[in-house]
Amino acid sequence: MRLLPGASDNETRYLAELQLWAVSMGASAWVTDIGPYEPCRVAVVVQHLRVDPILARIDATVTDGTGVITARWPIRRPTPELAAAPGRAVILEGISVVDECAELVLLDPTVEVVQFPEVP
Amino acid sequence: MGKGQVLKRVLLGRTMGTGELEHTLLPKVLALPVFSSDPLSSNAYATQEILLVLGLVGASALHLVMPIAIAVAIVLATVVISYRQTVRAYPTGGGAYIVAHENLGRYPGLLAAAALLMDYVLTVSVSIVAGVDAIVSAATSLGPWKVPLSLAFVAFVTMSNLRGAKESGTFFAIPTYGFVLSIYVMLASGFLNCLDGCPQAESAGTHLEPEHALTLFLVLKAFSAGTTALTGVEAISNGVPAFRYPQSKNAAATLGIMGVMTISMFVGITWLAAQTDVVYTEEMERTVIAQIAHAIFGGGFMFYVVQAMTAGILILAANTAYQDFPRLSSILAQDRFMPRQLMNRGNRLVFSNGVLILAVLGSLLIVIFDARLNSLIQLYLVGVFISFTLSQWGMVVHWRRMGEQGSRRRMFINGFGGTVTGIVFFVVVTTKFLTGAWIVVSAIPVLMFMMHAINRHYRGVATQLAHPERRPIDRRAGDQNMVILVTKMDAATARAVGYVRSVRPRTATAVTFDKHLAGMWRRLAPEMPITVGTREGSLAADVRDHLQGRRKTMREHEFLTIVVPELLERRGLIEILRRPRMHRFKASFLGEPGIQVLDVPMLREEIDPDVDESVEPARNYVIVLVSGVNNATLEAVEYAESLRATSVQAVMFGLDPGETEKIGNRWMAQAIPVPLEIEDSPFRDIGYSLTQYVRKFRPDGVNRMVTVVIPEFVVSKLRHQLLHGQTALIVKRHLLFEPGVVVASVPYHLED
Repeated sequence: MRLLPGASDNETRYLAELQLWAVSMGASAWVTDIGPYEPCRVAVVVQHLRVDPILARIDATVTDGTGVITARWPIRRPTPELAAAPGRAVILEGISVVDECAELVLLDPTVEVVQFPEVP
Repeated sequence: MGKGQVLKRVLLGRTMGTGELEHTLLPKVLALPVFSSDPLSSNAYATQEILLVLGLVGASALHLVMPIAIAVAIVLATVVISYRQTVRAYPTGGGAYIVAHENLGRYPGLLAAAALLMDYVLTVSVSIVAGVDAIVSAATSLGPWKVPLSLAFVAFVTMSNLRGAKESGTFFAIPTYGFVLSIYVMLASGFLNCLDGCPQAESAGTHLEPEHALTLFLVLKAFSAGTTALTGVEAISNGVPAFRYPQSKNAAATLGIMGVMTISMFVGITWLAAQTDVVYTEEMERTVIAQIAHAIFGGGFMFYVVQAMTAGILILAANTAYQDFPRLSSILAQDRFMPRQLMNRGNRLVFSNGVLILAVLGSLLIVIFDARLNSLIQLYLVGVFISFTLSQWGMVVHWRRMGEQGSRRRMFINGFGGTVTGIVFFVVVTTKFLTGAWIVVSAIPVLMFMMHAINRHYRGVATQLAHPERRPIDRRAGDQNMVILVTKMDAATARAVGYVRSVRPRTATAVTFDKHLAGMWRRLAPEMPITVGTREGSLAADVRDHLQGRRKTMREHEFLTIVVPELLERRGLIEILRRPRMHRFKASFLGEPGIQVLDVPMLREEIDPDVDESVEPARNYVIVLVSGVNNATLEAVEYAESLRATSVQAVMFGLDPGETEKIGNRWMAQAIPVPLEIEDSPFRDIGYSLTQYVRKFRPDGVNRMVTVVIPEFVVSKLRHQLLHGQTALIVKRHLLFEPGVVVASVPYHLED
């Protein structure tokens, strides 16, 4: 189990459950292990969404309990990516790239909204 | 954690995240006591109410109790069968309101909602008072304490519900199953005893002076009194979303179990009442159940068990209303028929505001009617049968619209149920009108009118907020004018100077009403002219006059901001409570058209003698707090753009994923040139979430400032203000003590 640094007990438990869930959903890699220009499938929870009309893109910050990554889509109509609302669990499948700020992002991944399982 | 938060944690438990909602869902074994305690418990007084009416004719009419009870049982069975269809057809719950609203139209829906809401309040009062009656039956010396005891039990059930459904279900299961078991034991014992000759109740043979002749009207009145056994059957159909998955199936099964239990207990109790020759009048201290139990068990242990369990389930029967009143209120608030404050869940994932309102109204009825059960029951059944009838006929229309296989059979079942309950409704109103039903019959239209008026107000607000003619024009950095209010020359005032310098508004001036400050001001901010005004009235009135004078020199579309520096002695609620005048002062400007308020607070502990606060900060990050995409939001975004910020972004704390999608799409459709950030708010506390968000910018008041721009609706009438949440106040309270954070209120004036 990989933990994020500085996590409290409740957070640790949550992150562990998130990781177990990600494995059960068929994730091909942990977020923290994704390298540049790799195809990947991740099961994550959306923490934060940014709709930027100036840069014409939508960014979602997601985590699977091991790390955090940004998924990015260009703005277009319709915008199914907005289904990746904060708090939702989603499966993202796409390719990781390095953006202009040298940050690793998942570029234009497909989005599948899934149910987060009941915590025992 | 402050003392208030500690107390809240002790009383209510830890705050639960929205993701934990699934964990509060109920299995059938817990759902039964939570949702069925009302109909099960009404067995404690249904037979009694029939006997009370028949007793008016004298002892000779008491034998009619059994045929009347059977008629009531048939109606109950019909309603249960009917509602099993409803819970399967409506898995999202809502009961009579949703069924009537969707199938019969807006006004039948409102009628059903008004009837249900009144009924839930009466359920609390009737159940608690009946429970206290059961206690007094066992301990007659408590008779004079009925009202305080009743209020204490209301408080107890309220607290239990504020802690959350699953926990209350676990706690309430004991008296509910205890009651059912003790009654069945009583029935079995009574049946066995009766094989050798039934024991007689202590009241058997009591002479009853005939007050009325035996007429059809009286028999119908006795029947309508007995229909109190049907109260609460609706609860499960409202509460389907509270069941574990598969929700509809579990709800229908629970309804069936409840129906079998209620009918068997009711008929059994009535049979035993007839066999033991129970007589009941209002003056008697012992209830009918108590008399039966005393006759069967003597004054022994089982008698006290029956009484304790009866009292327990009656008090907890109020819990059914605590589940459904807040849920229905939330649904009505979502449909904009009730205030928005009733829409969302609180700390423990319950609709806290709805729970508290129910507790207050239930308590009021108990006090007004002096905890007299028979007086309260006269009001009780009108709403029940309105909602039953509308629900059943709504289902007939639903099945007709579906037109699928089996629809005709389903239409017949619901149609038969609706006809039966419609007839019972007329009987109830006719027989109880003069004894109390007129109160409910009069109150329901008033409640419907209020809901209609609330809806009209919200629709009017939505229209104004979306109206293209009220859309703000495109204002920019050069359209800002600022006036600093100078009441003291302190660090907060210096910080306000530094802030205004960073904005570089078109005009930057100051106003004071203390001429001694003018000289010091000119040394602090020589480029900002200061006006020394004369105090004629209150400070707010004098400042308003000054601002109105400045307003006349400006173009109509320009912003005019009053900058209010505040030096705070310490953190905490006490500091806020110490400064009511300042809060009233700032709030008074929200009603002024064309004026915005910018609050520059500073804690004394932040003061650093080596730092010149009047130097403009290097960075000013502006955040616009957004709850929707409308004209008020656009106004706030334009205001934010006028501040010449390092960055401007809008932030929304996502409460509902569905809403998030809609708002994201609208943001793009409006082509708003500002990024929108949507953050998760797992504990539904916007103040806390915003504070955490703001801290990411690391504001320190010297190099980095954060400006939070809050759009605020302003309505002129007080009753309309009550319909709008106090989010702005809550947010400001959280941000007041954050170093380097200023708050700008941008009012959007709504016309009445």
